[in-house]
Amino acid sequence: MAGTQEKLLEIQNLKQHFNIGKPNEVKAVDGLTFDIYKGETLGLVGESGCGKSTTGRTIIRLYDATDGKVVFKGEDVHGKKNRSQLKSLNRKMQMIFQDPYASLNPRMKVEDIIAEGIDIHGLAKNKEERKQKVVDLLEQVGLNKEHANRYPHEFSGGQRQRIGIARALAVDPEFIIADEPISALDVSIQAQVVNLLKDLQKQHKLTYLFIAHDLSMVKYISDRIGVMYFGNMVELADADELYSNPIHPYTKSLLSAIPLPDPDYERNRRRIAYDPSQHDTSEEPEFREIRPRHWVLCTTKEFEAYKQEFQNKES
Amino acid sequence: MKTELQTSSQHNMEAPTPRRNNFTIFLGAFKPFFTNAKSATGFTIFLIFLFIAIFAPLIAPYEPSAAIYLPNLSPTADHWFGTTNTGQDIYSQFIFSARNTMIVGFGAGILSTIIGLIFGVVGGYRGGLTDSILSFVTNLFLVMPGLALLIVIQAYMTASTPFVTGLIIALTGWAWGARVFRSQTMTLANRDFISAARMSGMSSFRIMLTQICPNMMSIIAGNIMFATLGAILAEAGLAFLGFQDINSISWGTMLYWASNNAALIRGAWWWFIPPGLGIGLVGLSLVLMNFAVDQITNPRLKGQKRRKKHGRKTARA
Repeated sequence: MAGTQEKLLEIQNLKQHFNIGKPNEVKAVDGLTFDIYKGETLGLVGESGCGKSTTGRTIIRLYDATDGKVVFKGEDVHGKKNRSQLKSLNRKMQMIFQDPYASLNPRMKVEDIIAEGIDIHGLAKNKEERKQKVVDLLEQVGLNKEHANRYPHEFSGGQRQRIGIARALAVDPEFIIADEPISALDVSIQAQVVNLLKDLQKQHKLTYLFIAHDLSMVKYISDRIGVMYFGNMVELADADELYSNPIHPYTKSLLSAIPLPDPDYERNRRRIAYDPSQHDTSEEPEFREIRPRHWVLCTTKEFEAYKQEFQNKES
Repeated sequence: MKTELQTSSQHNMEAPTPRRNNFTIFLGAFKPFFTNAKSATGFTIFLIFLFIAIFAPLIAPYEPSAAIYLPNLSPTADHWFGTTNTGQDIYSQFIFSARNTMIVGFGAGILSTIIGLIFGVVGGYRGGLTDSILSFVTNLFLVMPGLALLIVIQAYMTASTPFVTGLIIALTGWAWGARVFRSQTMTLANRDFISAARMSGMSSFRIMLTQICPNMMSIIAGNIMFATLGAILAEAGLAFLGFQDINSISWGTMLYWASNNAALIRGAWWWFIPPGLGIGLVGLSLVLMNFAVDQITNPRLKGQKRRKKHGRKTARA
């Protein structure tokens, strides 16, 4: 099945290190390899500071990658580019931010915030067309045309996030990186925004990289989920597969932390602690396919052990 | 969820919230200047001097440099502030000096703010080598002794007008502003809306102009006032010391002549008090207006005031 899907984005051995050569060097992302297929939603989960957001920001070129490649539709995102190449890339990739209070310029009207991309890429011929486009976008994200002339501080967090989504959609992108778009929102608003994202995906045939740490929400929106730990991806599988058959000890530990509104289950829920020293250190771990479309970071020995574990489970 | 949103939009359409028109918004921008007594006083003094400066030729009864009247007069009905020892009308000199001082002060203040903005914002936004170079230049200007440098430059430029003095003041005194702008830019540059602008393909120059600068408007306004105050004082000081063309018309030059002709010893108070008071009042108005800017920049000051009032009310009740 994997072969039939078209690859939109290939990330090959992506590395992003900060403060290189200094004592406080940080390897935020260290050798990440995965593909994103057209039309899917890839969820990226992991604990705070494991490099999820850095991955997203490096993919979209907000940071220059230390090493590795990001290939978008056969074109390398990083590397030298002239202005027109950069512009066409900017039109295809957009980002939705975590903090709806920091992501909108407080001094600009909503209309101008949304029309930023339209102006730069010259997508509207005249003022009326620009206004019409902004109104259309506002309506698509569930706001209305009266909101165009207001300033961001007149909106609630959920409404601001909708404005952020409208801004991302303004240039008609194919790929959107959603960097924890719901983490800063109320739980009731989270569902609205996630549903909105899902609807927009259908309408515009969008591809998402959905970064989050709310595991239940990620399961709801994602087709596939990648689990990150300390700058590396430790497990990547279809959403249902990952939740029903977690293999990597870290994934198991992470999933054991999800609370359920079920007292009987909660009473017996046991947190599995993750101990990195349990791994086989005889060789560098590699990303291996244990079952079709289910990849785990492991050494050869562990690979065998994990496979064995599966057979035992099935028999 | 959807139905809820639709009803709210219909409600909005039926009763559109009245939007303020441009003129009231423009007036509203000056509201903070009247919210407390200090800034209201400052703004009033400032407006008076602005009026004097703009309409100087209409207000002043005589030509300021014409030495054709009776010398050494104390205030009379014809000559409100008396005359100098060469027979010039001091009142007319005072009025025209206000004009020069305002032009020099604000010219230098705005120019030095612009230079500071270029150095600070570009350095703070770009970072890296650009920042290192620009910061180095800024620090260089910061450690130069201001007045001594001005005196040296002025000594080379024989018979400079107040405008040249203003230019020199602006070119040497921008470093403090640059420092402030740089740090403010650095905090703004990491905000998400700057990232969003970069991702939509906006050029760095446009980001600095349309995204960063509008967000530090209050700091820019404060810096203009501060730099203007500095420029007015520096210009007056240099002119008083005689490093400016002694035939120029400015409060500093008036003080220079007053002191040279022993006005203080002779008790000719009408000669040195008007220019001194003028410098003091314009300076005071700028400082007082800065309180208002402070209040806009720092919301905590507003809160404290409200709490104080609240306490007073409850104490009375």
